[in-house]
Amino acid sequence: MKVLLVEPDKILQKTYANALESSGNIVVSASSAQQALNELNIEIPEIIFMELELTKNSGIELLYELRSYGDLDNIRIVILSTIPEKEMLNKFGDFKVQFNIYKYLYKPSATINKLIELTK
Amino acid sequence: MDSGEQNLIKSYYLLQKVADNIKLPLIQILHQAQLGKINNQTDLDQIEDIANFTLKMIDNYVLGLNINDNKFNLEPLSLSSVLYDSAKELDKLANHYGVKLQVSINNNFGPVLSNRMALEGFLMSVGLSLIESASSTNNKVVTLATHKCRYGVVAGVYAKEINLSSSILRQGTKLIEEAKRSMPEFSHTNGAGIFVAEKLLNNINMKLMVSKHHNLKGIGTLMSTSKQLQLI
Repeated sequence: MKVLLVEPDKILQKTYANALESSGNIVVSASSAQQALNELNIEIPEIIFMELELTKNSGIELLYELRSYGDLDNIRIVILSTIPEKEMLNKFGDFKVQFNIYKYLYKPSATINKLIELTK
Repeated sequence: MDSGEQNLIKSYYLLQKVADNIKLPLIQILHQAQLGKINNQTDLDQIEDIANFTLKMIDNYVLGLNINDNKFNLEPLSLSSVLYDSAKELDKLANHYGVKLQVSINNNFGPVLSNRMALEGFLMSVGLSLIESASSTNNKVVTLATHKCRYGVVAGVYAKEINLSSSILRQGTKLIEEAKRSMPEFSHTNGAGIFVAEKLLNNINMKLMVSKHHNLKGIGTLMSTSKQLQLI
């Protein structure tokens, strides 16, 4: 599967990319919202894993941007974040429906196996 | 509300930020360990270095709080030795972030009167924040540096492409109670390291400031050299 990984922490970025590549996926990494959009201009992935706490722009802003483009509407988006899901729901209401989020993973309880499972 | 109460409230919010900030290295260790179970290639050096550094950051935070009202004794210090020792601690972590660490010491200005633990804690706390920020820029170099200025000697940590200014720092300090991430233009983390560094410096009556070193931007602190010490 073609994966876009949007992860601002370089150590985690390497770990997740390593995990996804070792299970046969093609991974493109981005550290910021702008980098992610640049990569999407080059190639559209089948799945996006993204952190919501990005430098400069928030992940929500990136989600607005992603879902505003017709050709990106059907990409699976998996949130992989240090923000607990409940906190996001309290702040933004049912954003998962609004942005068509495939899965929400809270990093402390997410596992590498789960990430790999989602690309199968 | 008196300044003691204000300090207590600020310390509470800083504790929240530090607790939140410590999640990141623990997640790094957790997921590296899980990856190792899958591909038998655990980066044990990375796990060790992250754990080591995080423990030092916790020590810095506790030192900054100054719970036992410790006397931060001032002593004549060789700034170059403080910078080199701090750089040694930061270097391993910088490697894992793909960042090159440099030390730049301009001029021989003799000893300064300061506290080694607080100063090293300041450099390491700020150093980690700048390493995290610089790692996602094109110029992945962080420099620990000193230079002379009109008012004394500045020691700090600098990088080329980080987004940092006095107003961002001021706003970040103001928003510490309101916002989970009070300096998002600078870092994807909550910047707890910067606020811990500030507390450490406050304990030795020094201030944290945005500063420039040649064409680099960063965070530094101003110290006076002691003419008396230079005579010794």
